[in-house]
Amino acid sequence: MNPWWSGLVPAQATIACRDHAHRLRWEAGALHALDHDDPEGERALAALGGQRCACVDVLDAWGHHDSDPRVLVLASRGPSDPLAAQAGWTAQLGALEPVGMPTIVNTSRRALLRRPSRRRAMAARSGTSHFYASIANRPTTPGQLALRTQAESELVALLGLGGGLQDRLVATVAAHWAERLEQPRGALDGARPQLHASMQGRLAAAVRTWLGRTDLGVELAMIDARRQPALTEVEGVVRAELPFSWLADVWSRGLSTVWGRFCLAATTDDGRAWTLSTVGPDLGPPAPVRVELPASG
Amino acid sequence: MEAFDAELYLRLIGEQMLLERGDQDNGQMRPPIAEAAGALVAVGKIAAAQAEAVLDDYSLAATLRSDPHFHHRTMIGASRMAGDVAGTPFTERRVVPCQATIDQPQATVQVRWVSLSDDSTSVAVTWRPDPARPWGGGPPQSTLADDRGTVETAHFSGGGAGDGMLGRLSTVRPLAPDTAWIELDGSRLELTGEAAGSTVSLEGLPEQCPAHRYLWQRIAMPQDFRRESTDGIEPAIDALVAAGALAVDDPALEQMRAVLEVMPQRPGGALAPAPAGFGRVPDPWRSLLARQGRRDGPKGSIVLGAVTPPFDGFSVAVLELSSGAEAFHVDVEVTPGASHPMPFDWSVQPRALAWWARDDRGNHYLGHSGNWGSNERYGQGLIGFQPALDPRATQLEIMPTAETTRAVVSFSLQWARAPAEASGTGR
Repeated sequence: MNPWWSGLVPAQATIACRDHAHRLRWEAGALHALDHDDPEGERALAALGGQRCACVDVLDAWGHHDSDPRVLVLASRGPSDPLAAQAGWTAQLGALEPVGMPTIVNTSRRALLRRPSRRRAMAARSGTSHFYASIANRPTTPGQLALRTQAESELVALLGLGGGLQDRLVATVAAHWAERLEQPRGALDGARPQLHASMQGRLAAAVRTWLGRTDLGVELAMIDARRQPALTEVEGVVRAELPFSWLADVWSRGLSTVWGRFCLAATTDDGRAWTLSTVGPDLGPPAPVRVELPASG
Repeated sequence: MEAFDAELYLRLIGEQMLLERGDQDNGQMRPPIAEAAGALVAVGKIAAAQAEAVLDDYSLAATLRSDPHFHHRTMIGASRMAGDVAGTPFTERRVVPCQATIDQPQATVQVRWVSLSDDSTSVAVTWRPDPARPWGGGPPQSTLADDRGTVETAHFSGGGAGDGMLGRLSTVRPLAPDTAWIELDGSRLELTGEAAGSTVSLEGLPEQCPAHRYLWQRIAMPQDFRRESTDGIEPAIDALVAAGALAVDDPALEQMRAVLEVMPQRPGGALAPAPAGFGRVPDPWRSLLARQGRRDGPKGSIVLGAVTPPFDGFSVAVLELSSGAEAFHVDVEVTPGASHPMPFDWSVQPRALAWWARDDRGNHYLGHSGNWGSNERYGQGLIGFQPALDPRATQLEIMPTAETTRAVVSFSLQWARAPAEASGTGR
């Protein structure tokens, strides 16, 4: 059996780490900090009060979220749905504690009412009727993002990574849940609505782009992986019957559309040569398409 | 037939929103996913915490797409913080009408009333900067003193109103509630007046099916639900129908849509006469619309000091009524703090109040929030009511309305004084 990352090429990003530009590389299903020989040792030093290391923080965050279905909810649905990622999304990780605003309940009224005078002046000039105290309590400092929990901070940091790492994180989470869904029911921890909806969103984006119909209705019926996938149109709505593994096998590999055909399933014997079950824009019977990765890929 | 999965239903609305990039178009208004979530929570189809988790997911997803610096999320955090704390019900307080004008180095301060209680002191002011003496900011902090020698720093909170700012100077620690005078930055104000008399009672609302109750309450809510660029009530109706909590052909839906059709889409829209056909909507909406567009409201203000007992978890203080030709406003405090929908906050919690009023001529009035803000203890601000108060009315009831109960604050319309220019209508 081929590993889940077959066909996924390496991805690499550069981040600021202790005033240096360091490389993070995903390859063969795992993320590596290329400029750190001993991440485990650095992690131990940081735990003892040493300087934190952004690369190791990202590795840790990746480990915390490589099966987190919230990744699928937050990440891009495809090329038509880009995130407005900023370098600061990753830089905030480990630099500051999460803001945690809902937990701050002892803030004094004085603090609540304090507000930069420049904003007050602008508001007064514009005649706005907003009540200052309502937004006066801004516990963020310039550049600090309003993130509520450590988990949220980590997710935003991971989604801010460039170089295709966001896509590899999605692929990792999708593969985890595809495998888990093939196991007996009851092991989903209530994640099924997250998985279903986030897959339907990606499916809809892919189908609309494929058919060039941005307002097309798309519905998903998540089926058992042993059943035959299908794509039909009924009363102007495209209905897909696909297993969740479509997300890991097809979408994550960028195989949703090939030669103008929509891919329902992708299989391989060796990780290089793939057979895709595809349908044309007329949503006729599936037909196979064979693609092969170059030997160096 | 498959069982209705409320979480999946909400998440699929969220997916649609992301694909349409609808978060950017909606701005500070609540998107369909939030309206649907509120409705499903109200009829018990999903737990509030579960719905909040879905809204948090898609709120953050929207932020990652359209607000890379997280500005809106910062605002949400501040209002959430205010709403996270269960408010302590208000206690009786001493509210003293006070007409005084104080010249400060950079502005003129008009004092309207003073509120004194065991835990807080606030002075309602209109702050007008002097154009001849440029001042870059809002009102600076002031000093308040009482006849016991207590001196406290007071901070301004409020918002723009015409050429000045309308709000309150509040201290962290209270002055003596029975003080004979206070000094504001050294200017003495004798506290000799008394607030107008009022009675306060609670009324249970008639039994209704949960879906109807939620939708009618939502239609009456202040802010944003009736604005043109949202889908209005439809996402909530769709959710209730999908959940089996409402029949798609429920006759009440026709009435609700008729009300929304004839109600002004924005607070200022009530200045135009009601469109033809408003007579087919049910009361109290019909009486509300009957006077729409009138500009014959009496001009004056009445200082009150009414405090309600707790009802449905809320407590309300009604402090001042100011009436102008086109509308009237009521200065209120509400606990818990974030008891108004705040910009960019999609939360299904906290619940909010609908603000109704009625007079002894059979007219009804509906309020919307004007300046509004909240801290960790309570929210405060202005509720603007329209249409204009009937000049023939002699009695008024202000009715903050929650899910099952409303408070009724009744008082005579005996006008004490003409309102200050900035506290009049049109805010």
